[in-house]
Amino acid sequence: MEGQFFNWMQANPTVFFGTLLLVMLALYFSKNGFYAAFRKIALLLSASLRLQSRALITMTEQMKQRNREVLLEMGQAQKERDIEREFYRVNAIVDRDLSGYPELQKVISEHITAIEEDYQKTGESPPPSPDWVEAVEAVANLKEAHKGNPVIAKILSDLHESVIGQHKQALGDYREGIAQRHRLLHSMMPHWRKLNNAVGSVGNSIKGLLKHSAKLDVHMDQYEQIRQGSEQAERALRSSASIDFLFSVLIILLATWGAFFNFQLIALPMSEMVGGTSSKFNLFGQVVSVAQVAGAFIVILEVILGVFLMECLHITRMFPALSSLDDRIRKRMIWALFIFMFFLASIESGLAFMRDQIAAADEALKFSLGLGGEAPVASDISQTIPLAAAMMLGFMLPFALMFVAIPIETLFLTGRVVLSSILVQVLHLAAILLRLLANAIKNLVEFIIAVYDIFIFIPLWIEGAVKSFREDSARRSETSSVSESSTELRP
Amino acid sequence: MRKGFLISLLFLLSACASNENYSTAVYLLLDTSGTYTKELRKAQNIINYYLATLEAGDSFAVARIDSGSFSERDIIAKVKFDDKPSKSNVQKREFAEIIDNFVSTVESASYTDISGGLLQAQEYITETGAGYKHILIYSDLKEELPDGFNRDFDLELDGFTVTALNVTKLRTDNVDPTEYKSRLLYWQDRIEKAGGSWRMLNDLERDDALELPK
Repeated sequence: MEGQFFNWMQANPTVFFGTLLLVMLALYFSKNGFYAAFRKIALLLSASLRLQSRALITMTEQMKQRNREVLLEMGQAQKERDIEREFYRVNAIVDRDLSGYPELQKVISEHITAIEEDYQKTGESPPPSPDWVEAVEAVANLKEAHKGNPVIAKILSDLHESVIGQHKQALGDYREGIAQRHRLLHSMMPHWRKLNNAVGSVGNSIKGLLKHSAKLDVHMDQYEQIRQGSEQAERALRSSASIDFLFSVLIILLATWGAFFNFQLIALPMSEMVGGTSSKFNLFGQVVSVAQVAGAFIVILEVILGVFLMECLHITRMFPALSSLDDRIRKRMIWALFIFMFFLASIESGLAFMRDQIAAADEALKFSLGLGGEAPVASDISQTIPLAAAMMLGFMLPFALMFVAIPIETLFLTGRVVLSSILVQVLHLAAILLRLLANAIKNLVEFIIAVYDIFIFIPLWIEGAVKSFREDSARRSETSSVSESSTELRP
Repeated sequence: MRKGFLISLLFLLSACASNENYSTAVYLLLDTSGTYTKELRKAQNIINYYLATLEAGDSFAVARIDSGSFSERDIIAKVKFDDKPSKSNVQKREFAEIIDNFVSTVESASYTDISGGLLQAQEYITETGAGYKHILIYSDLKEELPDGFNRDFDLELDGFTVTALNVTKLRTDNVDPTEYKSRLLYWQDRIEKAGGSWRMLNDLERDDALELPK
């Protein structure tokens, strides 16, 4: 095509250049119209893009605001749950520890009474010395005594002996009294210890309460901040939502892996149970049999039952209707769901056993057909352990899958915030790109006009030359007229 | 969330709506003419391969090509595998036993009626209603008909895949290779005119050689 054009051009140079000249002239004479049209179109496009950009920015702002509200609402609900949980724990402590407080108080009172009684007993002293000691003193001070009267001396001597005996007895009584007090004080020790333990246990309970009340204070502060809609609270919630979202995605991916493994464990034996391997469907481009669909259905059913069980246990709160059920009905539902799960797990365990048998039969068939396969010979390696492990896995996996309800709830709760934030960023980027495009179109028009001028450079050059010639002539005529007038003015 | 669940459910149901028949039917024609009977032990391995790989709901038939192959009596064994693996396993064992007996006791046929065998295969497979239809011809493709037999008819093989297996070269082919080529071209042309697709497999040692195209 290109070659043909060049051949034609070489054959008809006059026609070619004539046409080129005509086109050039036509473009030159219509240049003002083209310039105006280009600028108008550019203005229109640029204004439209700017308008769209502004609309996107407004939308972004509205979405940001809405996201913020949702985030704060979510945070508030979460904090309410945290506070409720802390109160529940405080209640549990009060119920568990402080409900026995009256009994504890009674025990403490009994110990204190026993200690008081013992204390009172320790206060009892031996009887004071008899009054006749004063009489002896009076007799000793008589004048006859000083005169060496033997009768009085005898009396005094007797008295002395009696006093010494009495003294010995008083000292013995005193010692026994002290020993008795010591015994009483010794018997107080267990009471002190018990009292100390009782007070200590109360102290521990109080410490636990203090710990939870400190947590409650923190939660309440955060709750207040969320209610006030502070920047700090919003940042914290956003960061927490992103981390929770990523973590829940990771856990769900792992759970999906587990679910797939579970499916593989039961898909083959399901064909023995439900048949239907001949009826196949196209599911998202993948041909699957009824047995496979039934296997997948069982796995999905387990997950659904798990979600409901978690909901009834108040571990997740995705369905308000289940959460707000009467406790009696809720407990019945928990038992019913658990029994369902147990049956499903038992069925899976049985299917795992059947899978082993089917696989062994297939291997034996292949061997008999001479297509490899494992010969059914006795082996040293026990086949019981893998079979038992498969059956155990078949039983355990449904219960493990039950816990996927927790990351699912987190994913739904945080997904909206995280995805909306990403959408806001994308829209913001689109708005910037539209603005850049508007500016680019504005500048592109000038570039197109410059390129247009290149096509008509000959007429433009002539126009420039004519203009400059006219200006020179005008300048010359002006100069000559000025010089003429100056000559006329000269004398 | 409820909306999302309903949408997912509708999507799933619409995806399930496509319930074409995805089962496979295989009809293997075994040439029992002349010296080709020596090749039947090799054919037995091919039959065993398909017995091991065909799934529940699939149909499999093995028939002999003899002097007049358009007959039910030439079908050596046929089966539609049961839905349950345990039953299909038993069916496969019985099938393999029948084939083993046949290969041990087969006698050479005087003529080779490939066209009649193809017509019989077409009838059988169409009756199964399978989604994937395969006719395998284990033969040297040299057709020899008894006097008075008319095999000048159009086959209807729309949706069929016809695979020629182990097409051995005859002594005359060595003398004139164009005879071999023209024989292959004749059958390819006849199958393709009938609406079927043609394949030829001589190297059966490859791992994926016997895999059936879907």
